[in-house]
Amino acid sequence: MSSSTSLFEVRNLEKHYPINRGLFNTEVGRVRAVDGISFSVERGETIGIVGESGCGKSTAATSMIRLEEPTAGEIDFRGEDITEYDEKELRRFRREVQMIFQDPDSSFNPRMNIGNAVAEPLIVQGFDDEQRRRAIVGDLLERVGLSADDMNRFPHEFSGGQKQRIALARALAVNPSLLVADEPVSALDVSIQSEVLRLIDRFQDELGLAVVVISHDLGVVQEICDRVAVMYLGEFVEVGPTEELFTDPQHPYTRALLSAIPTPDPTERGLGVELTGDVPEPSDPPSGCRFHTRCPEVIPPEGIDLAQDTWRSVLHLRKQVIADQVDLESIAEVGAIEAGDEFGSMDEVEAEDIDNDRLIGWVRQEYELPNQLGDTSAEQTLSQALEELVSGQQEAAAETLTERFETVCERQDPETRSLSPDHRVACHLTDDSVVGSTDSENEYRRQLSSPE
Amino acid sequence: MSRESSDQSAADPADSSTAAADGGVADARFEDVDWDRIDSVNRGRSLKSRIWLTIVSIWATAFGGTLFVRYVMGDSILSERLGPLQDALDPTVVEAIPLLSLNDGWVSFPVVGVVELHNWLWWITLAGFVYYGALPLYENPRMTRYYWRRFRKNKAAVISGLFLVVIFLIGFVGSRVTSQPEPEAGLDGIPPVGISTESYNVGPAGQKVADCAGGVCTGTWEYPFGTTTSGEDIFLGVIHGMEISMMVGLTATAASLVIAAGIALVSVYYGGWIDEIAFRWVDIQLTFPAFFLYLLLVYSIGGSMFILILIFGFIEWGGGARLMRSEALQRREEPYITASKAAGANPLWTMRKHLLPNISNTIITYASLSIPSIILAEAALSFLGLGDPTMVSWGQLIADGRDNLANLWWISTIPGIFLFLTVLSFNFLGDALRDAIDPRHEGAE
Repeated sequence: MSSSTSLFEVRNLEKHYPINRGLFNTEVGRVRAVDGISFSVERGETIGIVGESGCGKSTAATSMIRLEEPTAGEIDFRGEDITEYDEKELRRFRREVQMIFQDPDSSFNPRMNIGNAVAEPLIVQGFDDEQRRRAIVGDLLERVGLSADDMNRFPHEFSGGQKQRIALARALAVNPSLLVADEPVSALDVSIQSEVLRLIDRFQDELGLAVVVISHDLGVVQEICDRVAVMYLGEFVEVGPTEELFTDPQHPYTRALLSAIPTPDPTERGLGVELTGDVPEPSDPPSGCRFHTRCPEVIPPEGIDLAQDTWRSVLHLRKQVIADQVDLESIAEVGAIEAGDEFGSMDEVEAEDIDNDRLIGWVRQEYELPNQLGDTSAEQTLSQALEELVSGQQEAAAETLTERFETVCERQDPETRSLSPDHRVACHLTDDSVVGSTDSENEYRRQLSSPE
Repeated sequence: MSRESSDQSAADPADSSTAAADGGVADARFEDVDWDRIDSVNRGRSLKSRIWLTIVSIWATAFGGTLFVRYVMGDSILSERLGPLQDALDPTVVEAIPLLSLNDGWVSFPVVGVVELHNWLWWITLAGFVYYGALPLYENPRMTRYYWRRFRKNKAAVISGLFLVVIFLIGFVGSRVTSQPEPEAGLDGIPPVGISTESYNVGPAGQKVADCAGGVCTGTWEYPFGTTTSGEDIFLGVIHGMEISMMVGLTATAASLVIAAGIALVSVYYGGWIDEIAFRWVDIQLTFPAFFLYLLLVYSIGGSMFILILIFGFIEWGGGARLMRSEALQRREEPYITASKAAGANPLWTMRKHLLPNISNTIITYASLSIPSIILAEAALSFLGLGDPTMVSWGQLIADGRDNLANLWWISTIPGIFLFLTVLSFNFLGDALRDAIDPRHEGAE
């Protein structure tokens, strides 16, 4: 236990859930809920893990303290690998690490009174002295703002905020050195949130408690965390000091999350990035950078120089064509309506009756593409693909688009690199060997770093 | 806890309480627990649980020994198949053990003598009720008062409970201080006290006992419930029937509850192949109707109370296990189960303190359905003459009067009323118990 080791260190933690099908329960796939995350927590430090719903935050929380067995990875606590622990050692470890849960209503056994619930960690750890146990529980309840007399009452008699404070008391009963809080306040009213957060903060200062806060709410994280890890689809895309990450986000996903924080100042519009679509299925994550399907800053292939929003539109079209989701009929109908009387009755409009050039124009309109792309070689490819599309050769169009518009983001998994000792990011944009090989890409990067 | 006080606490001004909490944190240290000392202390069980374990092991040894001596060492279908091994096994070795003796193939114990097979089960059931039911209530008077306050809100259930306690006590004590009613020639057809009947219904000896004048006989206190067609005292029959009904209902239900809850909790907690095997077995078991299995045994080895309890207690738990499993499956996903794991609780603790109390609704509902239906099944089997011929039960008495309903109506009616009230009381009681032990339920107003 030298002073150089962190209190808690997670290396390449993975948690996969097998998908079993059929008569013999054969494994047909895996949900990669957590796919190789690494971080460390020092004594007294607060780490935040943020991400959208379904990105694997909660699974990370439960598997990092072995409430669920991790699939792979190393977890060191005070320099000891807890994945090697046997049952007895694990029980000792549970004294040091406690957890609080998202939903205060269901994290208490409705048939156990509060006194027993708070005392539970002590009892199961073998603390037999009932008198002293009651004293500890009473003291804890008072510290979280309730009264010792509440011991005999049942969970349903308390409000959500009170229950979350009791949950904190329960977690602190064994005097742990690490607290994992999974969405500790997201089920609470905003007015009560800060109260609970303040309480966690106070205890942390007093007890030198290290805290891992899991949240989808960047506001919460900003308020109490020293460092933040941004999680996307089972991986950390960026880890850094809160201050630095909030003022100078390096990963497009972090930028998107930050821009989603509502601000009371109407003149401050954030970074204006908006994410569309859902998080992809973790059972079949996208190739390369997992974020590329939704990334607003996908790197164009070498030699193609387009404005970012046009490039984004091209990618969107490409995705739809590959998935065969371009509905020419409805595009034709919409186009016909906008064109007015010329086409007579709406019912008679069929995609194939319409002149190809005209239909291509409508498709461009639908996908917000200009009639002429700024880059000649890109334009060539696009018009060829559209030609193929409207003449019914969807597969050929898909092939054309895939071949020419393939980006490094979908080809290559970005490496995690350190920008400073404790700021790490996994994005091709920060990699000079990827971006910066040509003038156009340098220009592109310059554009991004100074919007407008 | 009244509703007003809970509302008030929920509305506690958040600001003031936080201020108090913050202040508290600043000036106090956490209690330092010396975990090393706690780990080093070898935690034994409490005296109470050691006594209970001793009782259970003595019971299991004695009961197992009795069965072994009688059916493996002694003559039975089983021992006939043992061949040469059987010759080596001689039941008379029992005589060599101090305090024990052999009585007609059965082991005879000091004080209690030969214990009938069904009584082995009945006694351990009663002991279980004391240890898991009465003792905790006695030890936690505060909790007992709390449950009682909630329970007594349901008047029908209180009356039912009282009725059942009386039935149980009279039956339990009565059938030990009185002998079973014996048929007596000529004593037949005496009406209950205060009831008159034509004297030709009453046997010659009975006419002397009853108050007979002018062709009409009136019952007297000597046979308060009258007598059957074979001259058995119905009053004694009802008392003995009380114990039998209680014994069959409670013992068989207790056995099936313990098995069902155990299987359900273990398979839900561990899941996987344990769950798979346990519940495929339940599927298979549910294809044997207990009733017909019992009939089969009655015809092959003869009916007895022990076999009846065995069949209803050890074969009929499948349905209950399924209900409990489905309830427990929902509970298993609750965060409080994870919280308990995170606290370092072992599986047994989690199952006992978290899963079990939260499926108690299902358990009590199942028990309140199972007890009456087993009591009724026993009565039905006795009515059909398939019960234990050595014991007088309500079903037998009812059967006795079925041919003379017009004249000797009391023979069927009196035990019938007791049967009816007992079954009804168990149903009322089940409802009220379920509400009383659920803290979220404020109780029937």
